Amino acid sequence: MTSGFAKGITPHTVLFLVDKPERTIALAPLFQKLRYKLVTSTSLYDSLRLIDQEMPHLVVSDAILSDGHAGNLYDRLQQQPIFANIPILVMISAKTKEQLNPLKGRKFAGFTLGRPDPAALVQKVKETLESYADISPFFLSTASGKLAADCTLSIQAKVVGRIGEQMVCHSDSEVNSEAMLLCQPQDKAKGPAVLSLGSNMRRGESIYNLFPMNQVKGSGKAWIIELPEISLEQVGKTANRRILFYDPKMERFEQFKRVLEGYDIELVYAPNLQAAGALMMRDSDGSLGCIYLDELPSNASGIALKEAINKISEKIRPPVIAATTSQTIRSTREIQYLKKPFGLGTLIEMLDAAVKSRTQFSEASGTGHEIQYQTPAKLLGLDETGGILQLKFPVTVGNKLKLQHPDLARFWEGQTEVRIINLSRLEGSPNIWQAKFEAISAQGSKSKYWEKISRLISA
Amino acid sequence: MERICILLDLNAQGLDESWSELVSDQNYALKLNYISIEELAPMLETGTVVAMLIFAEKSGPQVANSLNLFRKYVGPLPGFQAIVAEDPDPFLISQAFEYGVEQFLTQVEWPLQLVGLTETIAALADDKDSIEAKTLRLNWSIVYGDQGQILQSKEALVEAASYDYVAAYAKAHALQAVGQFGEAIEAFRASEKLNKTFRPASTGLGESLLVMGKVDEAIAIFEKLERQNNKSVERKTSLATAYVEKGEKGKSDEMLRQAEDLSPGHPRILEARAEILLAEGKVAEAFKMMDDLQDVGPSFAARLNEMGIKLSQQGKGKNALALYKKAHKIVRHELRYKISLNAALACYRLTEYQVALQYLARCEKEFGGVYEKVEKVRQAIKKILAKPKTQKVG
Repeated sequence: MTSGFAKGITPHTVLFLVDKPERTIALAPLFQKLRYKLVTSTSLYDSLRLIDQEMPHLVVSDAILSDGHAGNLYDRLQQQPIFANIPILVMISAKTKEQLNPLKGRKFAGFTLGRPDPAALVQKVKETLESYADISPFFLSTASGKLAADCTLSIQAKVVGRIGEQMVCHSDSEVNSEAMLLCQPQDKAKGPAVLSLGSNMRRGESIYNLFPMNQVKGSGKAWIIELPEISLEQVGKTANRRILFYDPKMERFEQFKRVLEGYDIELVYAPNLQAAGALMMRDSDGSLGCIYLDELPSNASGIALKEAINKISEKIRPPVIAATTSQTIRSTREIQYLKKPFGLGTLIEMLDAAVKSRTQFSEASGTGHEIQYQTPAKLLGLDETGGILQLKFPVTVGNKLKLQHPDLARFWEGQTEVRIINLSRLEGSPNIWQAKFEAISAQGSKSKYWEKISRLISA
Repeated sequence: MERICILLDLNAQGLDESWSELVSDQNYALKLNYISIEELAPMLETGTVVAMLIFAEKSGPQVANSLNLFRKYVGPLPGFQAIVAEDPDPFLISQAFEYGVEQFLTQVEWPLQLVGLTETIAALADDKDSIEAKTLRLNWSIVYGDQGQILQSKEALVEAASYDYVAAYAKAHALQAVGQFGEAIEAFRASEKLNKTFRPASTGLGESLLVMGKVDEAIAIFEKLERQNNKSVERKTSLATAYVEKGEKGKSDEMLRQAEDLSPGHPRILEARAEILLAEGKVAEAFKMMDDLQDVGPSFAARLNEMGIKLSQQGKGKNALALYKKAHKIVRHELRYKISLNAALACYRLTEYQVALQYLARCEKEFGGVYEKVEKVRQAIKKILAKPKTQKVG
């Protein structure tokens, strides 16, 4: 495992200390794009209160403030060890003695001169944060904190049964199709299994995870293949495997059509994305099992199609699968991405799961086997909201998971739930993922939480 | 032992010159070795190869041939093979799926992606308790035709065969190799149940059913597989021989014609033609054709054995022996011991006891251990030889 950090893994909080709050209005959308949180203050006094509350990763301050100067801010932060590492970027409006003298003898992270335009200022902020490893200034690595690195992420789930060749489980979390999860049954008489190519379906507030049984590995397969079929009630006419298929190359579509018809999958051709969108909108009777897009360009037609998909009510919208060569794109509730190039079995399993996800069933008929999905991880370190994990498989952003770690269980007094807020692939390492998580026990005052954690680590 | 991952470039885009530069920045858990298609079979025969990376964008006989050779010499391990393609055509992904292969790497990222893949393969191959390591060992016994070792290696996979489709498939393959086709059918069915889309299991099931004379069932399986992928020469030839059994000569000819279109001169086509001639009773023509055959599979071998037994029982022992001699030269290693046993039995009927004993010794050697049937025939011969010769009186 590597010790570098994935770019943009930590969503940053940046505090702007300026004379007028209007000066940050133009910055807000640019920061939002970078998923940075922007906090604005107009006085030194107010900024110290906000620093305590928000624990920003960078302070961008005017050289001269209404109640002091950037030098005062620097000194105040140095007086409190917890904040001493927060970098400060100073905006100097003019090279005058009045502006420059208070900055002397202090280590600022950088300077801007004059009134930089919003884009240039955001770029400067980004560069400054990247020069600090693009992580929180409070970040404490497992090595320096002498913490154990090995940990396990887990999700509680209940096996409902099978729909055809898909194993169906009920859980609180969506699963990522690229992840391989260890399925650990509570009943020790049942063997464990490795699950992969998972997909999700929602029924109201409930989340169901579907796993193709053909891909299940391990001794647990023996009980999984014997799972009872769930009694189904089809939605609309989706019992058939009729799939709207868009591929810019007609020849390729024809080839897929020939290959897939052998697996009882009927393809309906959409010659372009507009046609795909129109056919999708007209599918109010649910005659399409799912939509497959062999390419989803990022141009206007791709955006228009995404908008069309979003407009269709979730209740009647057919599942959408889009093949992509992007290594960083992540599946959403609206579109499930399939990484190109893919194997035929993977495509068939995904199409099958998508068609099956349109079915309705009564969970009362389920098996009730309690299981836990587990995936091993490495804890890279902790910060004021949670920390960063390194994994061999992706996890779904927004998921609430249990983090089993010997030290954290103690620090968090048994409250081991975390929420994944960001996920990135490590550059140059296609099989390594990093996830930024927020600890549920870190909710509330960040500085109080971090003081407590720092104390426990150093004890 | 050094373990090798071979890089096979079917795109002919100069990988032979660029590959070492492309992989120079990475550390791989297996030794990488670039080879040409001509070097593939000899390289696999060395027994050092555990993984294969094929560079191809389109389907074709070379892809099928490479995957076939890997399965034959290394084993039915789809996870140990991958295809590098930027935008593989659907027929290529379908052709790879015929062998259970589903891993595709990209033209740009393969040197990096291969790091993780070789790590996984090396770890599995080195772990003597893993299903993959056991499958490698079993396959090697089959390649060498060592019947005793095959049975021993098969036993090591019995437990895993109840939950793992590769283990169940490997077990079925082993049973096929020792001639237990009835048991092989059950094992192939188990593999199919564990992974309904694992096509090699369905293909193996069809082949075993055909050997056992369950022609209708075999045809149903082959026809279903053919609907899903109509670009397999092996399946077309299997269907051709099965149709002949059913007396459907027209369908059989059509299958052979299609197979010839796909891959002219493919050895399996010649094998099927010879098998069909035998089924039609055109023995002399079949014999002539057999001179050009090698490595023939269980279906043809079973037919040759069946025909030899018939000839021997009809008192045409010399003809039977001629047939066995030819058959022994052309069948796969693991199938030879049965022919030797049948040759011994033919000699026994001809009262050529010393020659029979020689065939029995060869059979035992090919079997790789003590073979109960051999022992029975040997005892019977010894008993006869021990009796004093009767002398005419007067």
